Amino acid sequence: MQSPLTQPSSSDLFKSSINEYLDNLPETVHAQLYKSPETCLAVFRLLPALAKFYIMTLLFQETAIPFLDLNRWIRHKKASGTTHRRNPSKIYQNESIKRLKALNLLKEIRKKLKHPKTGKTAVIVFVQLNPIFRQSFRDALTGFRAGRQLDPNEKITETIEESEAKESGKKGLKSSKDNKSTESTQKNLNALFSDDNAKITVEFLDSYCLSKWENILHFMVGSEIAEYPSIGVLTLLRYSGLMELPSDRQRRENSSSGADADEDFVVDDHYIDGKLTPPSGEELKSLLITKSGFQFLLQTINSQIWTLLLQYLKMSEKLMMNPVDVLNFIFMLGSLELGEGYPIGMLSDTQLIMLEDLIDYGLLYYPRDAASGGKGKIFYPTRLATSLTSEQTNFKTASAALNDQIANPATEADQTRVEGSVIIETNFKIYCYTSSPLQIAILNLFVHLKTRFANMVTGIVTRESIRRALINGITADQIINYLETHAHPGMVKKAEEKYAKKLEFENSIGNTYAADQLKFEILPPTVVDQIKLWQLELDRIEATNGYLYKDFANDFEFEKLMDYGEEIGVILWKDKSHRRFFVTTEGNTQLIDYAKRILRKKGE
Amino acid sequence: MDAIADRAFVGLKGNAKDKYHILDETPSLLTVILDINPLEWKKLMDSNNLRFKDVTSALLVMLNSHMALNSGNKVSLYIANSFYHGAKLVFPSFDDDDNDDSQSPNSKEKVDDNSSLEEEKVNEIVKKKRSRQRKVNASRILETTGIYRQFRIIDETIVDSLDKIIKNEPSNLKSLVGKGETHIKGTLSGALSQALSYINRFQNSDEHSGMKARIVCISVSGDNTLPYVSIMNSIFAAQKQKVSVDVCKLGPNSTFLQQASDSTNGVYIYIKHPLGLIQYLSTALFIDPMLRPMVVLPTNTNIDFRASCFITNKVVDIGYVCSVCLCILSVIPEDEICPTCHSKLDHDLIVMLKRKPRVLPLVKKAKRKRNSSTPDINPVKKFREN
Repeated sequence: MQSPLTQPSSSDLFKSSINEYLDNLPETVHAQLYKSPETCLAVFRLLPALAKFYIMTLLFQETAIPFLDLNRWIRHKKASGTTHRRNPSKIYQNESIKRLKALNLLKEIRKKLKHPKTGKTAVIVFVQLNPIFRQSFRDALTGFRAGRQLDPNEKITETIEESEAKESGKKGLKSSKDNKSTESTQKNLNALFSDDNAKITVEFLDSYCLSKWENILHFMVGSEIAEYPSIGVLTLLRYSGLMELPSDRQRRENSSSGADADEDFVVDDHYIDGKLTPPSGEELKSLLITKSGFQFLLQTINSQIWTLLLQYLKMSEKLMMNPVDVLNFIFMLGSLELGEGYPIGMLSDTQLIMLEDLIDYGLLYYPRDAASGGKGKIFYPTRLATSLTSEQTNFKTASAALNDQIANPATEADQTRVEGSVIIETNFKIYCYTSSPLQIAILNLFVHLKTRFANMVTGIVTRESIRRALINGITADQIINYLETHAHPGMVKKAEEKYAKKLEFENSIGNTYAADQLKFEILPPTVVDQIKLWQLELDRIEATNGYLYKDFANDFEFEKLMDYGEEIGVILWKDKSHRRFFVTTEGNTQLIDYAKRILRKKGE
Repeated sequence: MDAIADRAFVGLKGNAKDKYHILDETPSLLTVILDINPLEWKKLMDSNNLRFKDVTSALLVMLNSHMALNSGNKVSLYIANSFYHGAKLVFPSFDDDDNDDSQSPNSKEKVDDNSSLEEEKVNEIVKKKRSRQRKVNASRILETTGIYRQFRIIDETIVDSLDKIIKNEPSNLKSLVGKGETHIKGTLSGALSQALSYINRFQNSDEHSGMKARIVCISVSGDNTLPYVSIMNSIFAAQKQKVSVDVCKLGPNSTFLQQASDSTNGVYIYIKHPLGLIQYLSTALFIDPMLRPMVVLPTNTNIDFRASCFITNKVVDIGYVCSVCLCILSVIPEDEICPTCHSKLDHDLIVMLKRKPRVLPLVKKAKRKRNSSTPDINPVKKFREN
């Protein structure tokens, strides 16, 4: 095999896993999901940019449009030269459409139409948006709801306002309308918050969720922590295979089936089925980190949360929780507003169970003592929750902004400035501005650390240090990804400038092919390549599942199929002299479809 | 090294994937400039049965959809061509009309927009109060029962301020007429340059560095209201900033806006069926800056590149050009001084230019435009009198 199939990079792996999960849901569940506008919004945000564009074009279209019209939007560049026949735009388009179909968002309708002149009947494929999705998404955008359904958000705000009104009544501040009423509202709000004897500000929520989350991570790397995460968290960590009990490890080592070596997520659900008693809390505290746990640590916060939530989804299915309820709740979190309180009254029973768990992860804040005081039961989403459906950089920038505001930068800022602090030079030296033991521990996984200062550690990436990481099960892509996502803003800025300059140059001399091939390099390419080379030293053979096409009847068919396959980028290996080529599993169906189309055309 | 990299690492999706990954993730800023010249709108309403309200609701849906694309996305809205305000930022609003008790002085807020943005973020209570206050006004107009909160804040702010501005327009017009001003200058270019400065400040701020931006102009007025020089300068600025200017043109076709979209890789669409405006706004005018390289832009390809006369503000086919500042003239000013750079034009040359054609012309030295359409100056006639 000439070109090995590169594994999708790790953060994609976790991010795409939520997509995969959604893709594999049955159509009935999709239909139920799309009834909620919040969910539609969240699903929409997870799509590729082109798919979003397609949805927007179809959203206000009452009738179905021909499938070919979707193709017409794409600029078809003639690739220069015969060696690079792959058309990246087309691959991207294919991917976008595949996602839309997998989510049941795009419906194909085949219509037989008569050609107005020749009178021949031809089958033309029309596409239309899923009607349920279209309705909900339109509602989400326009705010108009024909059926006057119960809308959680609206209800929330109403209830909050009601409670405010009540409050103002209690205080005897007769709302004297206009100017004064606004002032009194503010006072009331302040009163409301001070009554809860906890200042629930955005800063408070941020530091709360981060400390909660870092506590979990600290537990994973095994550093000394004052308070252990709750049993729910520990169970989930074990369930998702990120950590394991010493007994698990022994069992795994004993069952010497070598094939299990790369079984990452050891799913042990005996105790869920009730066959075995669940391990006690004390037992769970002795959990050890696994290979996939190491990989998990290298993710960005956002994908870490998604990973856990996904495992939670799988676990909740076993516990017979309604997946629609669970998903709706998760997606709703993304549309809640940071710093606002929401009453728990609007949650379903399933969601109330979830609430408890999400509090443990630091996604929500729920002032317990205040709640028992008879006050309206209100939970607060933290930034971890509200940035769930947004892009990863959001948290980083938000915390950066936070740093400026926090008066006492020594302790808090160090906590929050975990991301965006690594500088790596072409000579493999690494500087990291951090004093967080967690980040140092993570860096220690693949860097040979040399010196430690008050606010910085330095180290060097060596063959040994990388090999150690690789043997631990961390891949080169994960390391590179970690370095990229945690790169110092200065490095990012420099890379952007360099990219813009190169792009401008290539465009100015009209070399569009080279412009396409340009990479956005945050890290020095030498380092990236070297790390990848060190990985290649370890695994020289890579297996890919797929299909071998051979025994073609004639050259024409072979060429036609191979051209198409190359265009959509699914061909891994080819041998022209023997008329053979090898196709990935995913690409196979597409290629077969195409082959059928050719055959049909011939038959006509 | 390259050779190694090529064979070993460029896998199945390698390069393309990186690129599209960025494409999927990068947030963008959408700035809309809405032309609200009331007289032009009246004309449109009479001829097309198109109400301002319909356009506003279509616009709001467009802004909402942009916010829906990516949670990092931002929007801003400017209005242009109003009688009183000229160009004005409507969203994000900094509430300089409301006398807020807890706010820092307005001047400071305007200068330091970033801190006020953050302040807004932090000061949720104030925001809530505002939205409540706003709601009183906006709920009369908006029929939004249940909507994502982020959208509602945007929609309410915009509807509220537009409402306020439109209501004041008649009295503003009266006061303008009272002052005796007959020619009302368009402020679209002012809005354009304000928008560009906003984008520039936005892109240079730490929080949003590297954010892509684009401008959509919803224009109803004709070319005669556009000051040529400033609009051209804005176009060049936009080009330099790599900000595309999309134009959604209602009313008469505009040459300059066509040029603006053409030179900034934007889309110019002349709306023939204004009732289906939302479809235009959600497709042709909804192409994210990151998608632009791979999507066929549905724009007009034959563009009118004519310029306008600096004195009469009319589009010229053939005219005179000042050799110092390159300003374009359809007529030669009487005092023979360039109106833009005040340099003295060569008298002899002008006489030569104005010379009447002979019966048998030997050599035609320069282009000339004989039947200039201005009523007050007629060079040919004047020459004869001399």
